[in-house]
Amino acid sequence: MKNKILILLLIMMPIALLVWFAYRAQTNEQLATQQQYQNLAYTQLKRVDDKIINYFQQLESTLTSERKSLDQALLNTEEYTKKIRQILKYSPYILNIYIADKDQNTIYPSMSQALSEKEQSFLSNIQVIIKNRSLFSQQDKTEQTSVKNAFKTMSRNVSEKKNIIQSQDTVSPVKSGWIAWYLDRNLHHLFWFKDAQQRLYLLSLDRVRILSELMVLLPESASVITPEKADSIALSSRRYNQSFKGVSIRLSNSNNELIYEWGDFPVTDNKSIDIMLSYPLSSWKLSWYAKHLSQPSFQQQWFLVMIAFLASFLMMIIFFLIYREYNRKIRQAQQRVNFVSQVSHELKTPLTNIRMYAELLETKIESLGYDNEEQEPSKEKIKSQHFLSVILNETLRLSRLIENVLSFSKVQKQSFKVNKTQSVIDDCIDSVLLSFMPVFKQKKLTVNFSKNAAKAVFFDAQLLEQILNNLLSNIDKYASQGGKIDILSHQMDNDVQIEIRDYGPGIAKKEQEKIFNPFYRSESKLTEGVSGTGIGLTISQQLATLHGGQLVYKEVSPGACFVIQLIASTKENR
Amino acid sequence: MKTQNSHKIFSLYSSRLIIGIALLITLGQNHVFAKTTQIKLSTNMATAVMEADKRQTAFLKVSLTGFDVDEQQDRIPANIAIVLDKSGSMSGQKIEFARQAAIHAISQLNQDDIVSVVTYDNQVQIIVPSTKVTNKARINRLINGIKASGNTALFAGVSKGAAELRKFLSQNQVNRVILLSDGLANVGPKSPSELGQLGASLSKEGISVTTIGLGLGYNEDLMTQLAGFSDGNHAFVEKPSDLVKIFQYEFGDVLSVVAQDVNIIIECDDNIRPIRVLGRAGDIIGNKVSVRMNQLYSGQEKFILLEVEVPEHKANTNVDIASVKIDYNNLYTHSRQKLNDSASVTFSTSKQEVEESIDAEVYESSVEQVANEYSKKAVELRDKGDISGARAILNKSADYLQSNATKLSSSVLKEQEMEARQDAQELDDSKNWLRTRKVLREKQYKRSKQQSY
Repeated sequence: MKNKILILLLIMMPIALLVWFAYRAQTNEQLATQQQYQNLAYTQLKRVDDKIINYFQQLESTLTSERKSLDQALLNTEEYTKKIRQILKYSPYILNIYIADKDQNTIYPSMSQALSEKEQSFLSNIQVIIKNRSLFSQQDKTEQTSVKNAFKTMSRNVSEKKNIIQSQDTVSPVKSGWIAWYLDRNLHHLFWFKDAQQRLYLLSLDRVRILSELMVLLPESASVITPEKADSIALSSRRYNQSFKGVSIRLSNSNNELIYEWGDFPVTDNKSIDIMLSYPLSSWKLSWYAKHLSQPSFQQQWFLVMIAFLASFLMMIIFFLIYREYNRKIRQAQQRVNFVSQVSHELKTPLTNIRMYAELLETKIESLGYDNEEQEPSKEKIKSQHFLSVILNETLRLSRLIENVLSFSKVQKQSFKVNKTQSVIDDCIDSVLLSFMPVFKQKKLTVNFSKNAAKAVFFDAQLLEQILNNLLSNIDKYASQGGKIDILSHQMDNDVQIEIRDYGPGIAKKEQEKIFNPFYRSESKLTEGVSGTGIGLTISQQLATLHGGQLVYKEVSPGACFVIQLIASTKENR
Repeated sequence: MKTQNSHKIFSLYSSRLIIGIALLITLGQNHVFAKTTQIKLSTNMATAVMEADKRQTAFLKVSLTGFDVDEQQDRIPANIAIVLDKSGSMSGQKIEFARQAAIHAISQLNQDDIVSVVTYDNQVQIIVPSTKVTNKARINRLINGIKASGNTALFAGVSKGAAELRKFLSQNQVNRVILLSDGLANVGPKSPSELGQLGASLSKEGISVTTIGLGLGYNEDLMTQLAGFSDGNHAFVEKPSDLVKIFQYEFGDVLSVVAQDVNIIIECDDNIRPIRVLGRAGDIIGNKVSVRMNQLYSGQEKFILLEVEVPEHKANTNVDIASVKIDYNNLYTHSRQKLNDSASVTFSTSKQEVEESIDAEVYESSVEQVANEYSKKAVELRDKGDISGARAILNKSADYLQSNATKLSSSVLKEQEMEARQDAQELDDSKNWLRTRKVLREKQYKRSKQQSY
């Protein structure tokens, strides 16, 4: 019992370890995949962010060139004002312009001029910014500017609170930049620029326009792509959209309001990968929604895989055990045969001696009687003769057994040699029958022998004898109650056929195929209490095959019939 | 063939024009200048003779009428983006009629025109990317694939529609977004002022947005602001089955544009103070008023009504009120054209003389616009819950309309008076207010912009 538990432990421990390691590997891989996926998402989002940065850069150059037209006009002239209003009229980006000279005197919109309502409210709104000159000039003085994208927040105790975030785009000397500020909860942008005369230009941008252009910049959702549709969408944009397959991306502002959304994944929960946008849209957010994120991990799937793995592993163990058991039996039988064959070799010589001397003794006892000149053989003599015949019979049986075992092992080792000599089949059968006579007489078996093979042919008499011995001894063992044996020999050209039929219980149909298998003994009442090695019929068939023929079972009723077929030519040839 | 069509459509609408007399005169004049391809500009005071020795306000009307198009002439190609709301609320009959209306409207276009179809729910899809109208069957197939579901990303939809126009943007064609929506914008910017700002920005590029509100779920302020700042049309469609008709009107309008990028600058003389521009958005800087229109349609009159303050003057003096300068892009001559005009008044002590000098047409327009402003004010008050205040204003407006209708014996003003009285009654009906407000906004919009349908 202890051993069993130990073995079980020994088997289970490695499996458990294996499973554990596999699980660890799997989770690690899963984590790695997730990490990879996250990186992919970040890269994609970063790419979107880059697009937006790029947009602002382009916008910057557009604004700079739009502003340039002012340089052609003289300051404070009618034409200058006209130019400014022209810009305001046609630039889709610029809502208002503020210009101040280097001494911080307002050039435009100046109070001396007539102002529109729009200009007036703009002027009052940006007071907080233009008063804080550091927003534009600070970088000139502090050239090092270690903090890129520095945020400066200031608030005023005015009725409406304004937050101003300011940063610089380039390391000093800074000539232009963005100012993001909040007015009425909305993010507005100012673009400022300083020309060679240190004149400050402050352009107030149309935040709605910028929003609208950002949306145009971002991909739209692919509608159901029909074949006709596919041709009309530019390949590049399709490829671009490909990387967003199964994904939805949302752009939301600093108040966490959804601004724009694209993709084909229906956003339901709020699990997402987020990045904040770069300046000047910082505090805005891009969120990546995908199936991957909301799906429970693979652990459940993995569990199923493990169960399947374990089940197949158990099956393999069971199969292995059965296979090993079967092999063990075969090996055992073979070892038995090997052992017996070795022993048999050793037994053969003494047995021959025993038989020889027993036969000598038999003739001696016979002659002893005549020496006494008594007509009637004495009681002692009959008794002695009986004992002697038993010894002889058993010796014969033993030698047949040994012969079988030796032949079997020889055939197994393929070292059996057929030794053909010229002789008569019927004579050979007679001699075997003769040796069985005492036993048959004892069991009251009569033999009908129809001889039809009297021609001298070349064949292995010893081989045939062995086959006959096996068949006849089987009849002796299992079919003696039939009381009769029919033997029919037949010869035609090179073919010899011998039929041996008994009137015993016969062999059941399903057993008939197996009786020639080695070590098979039909399990029935028939074999009960009868000893046997289970190789008799096997070796007989093998021998017949070696002689170019066969041994088959022929169904008869009642009893059983075996047919030996051999090739025995009249000429000596191999 | 196409021009014939647009003529038919035009004559159909002409009966609907509010300013019937104005139209007759315009047509008459157009007959004389049948071959000219120039905008007709006329500047008139409501009262050419004013009371002397009295500080008073007066109305100046600057009227612009698009020239008739010769039947032999090819019409101006159009670049149209149809933006359709396909949110969940559009499902069923609405989307069906919307598809049908779009397909029907596109059938009026030919291969010189460009069309794109954009739909939006909570996301935007480009159904037909900007394309020449060569394969109508294919376009129709794509439109028929539109199914309704989801939210309303109106701002993004219009933005993408405009982007489709931008692909082939040209000042020598009509660039228009036609937006159909039945719901409130709830993804992206959603306030009327933000959408108005978008409209104003698009207008700078020569893009107009026409907004068609379907059913009772949309925000009429948002829709009228978007249309108003971009100088497009606006319509309230209660029954989806009317969509086909409205789309047809709209396309008729689009295909009859003769001039674009129209700048009107009214420079008042010293001592004449401009007070307000009625109906339209105008910039008043000092004594200078500038108004911009995106386009003028063939045979249609659009006008600017300016209220000015005139200081007292002695009798029998002639005073210049303002000079008017307009410039516009003539789509038929492909050139920028300029026109000048001016207006002046004389002063008299004779009341009769003043009465006789009244320009009935201009006066009528002024009364109409003033009453229209009252109507807008009434809606504002009603929104604040001040029903009685709103009613008082509408009744005041109706009385004002009534007295002037008799004075001018104007059926148009009489009709408007009846409307005002009915509106005053309907203010109470809170169940129907949703609908009434949309009707009011539509009427106000059409009066302000002299919309043809």
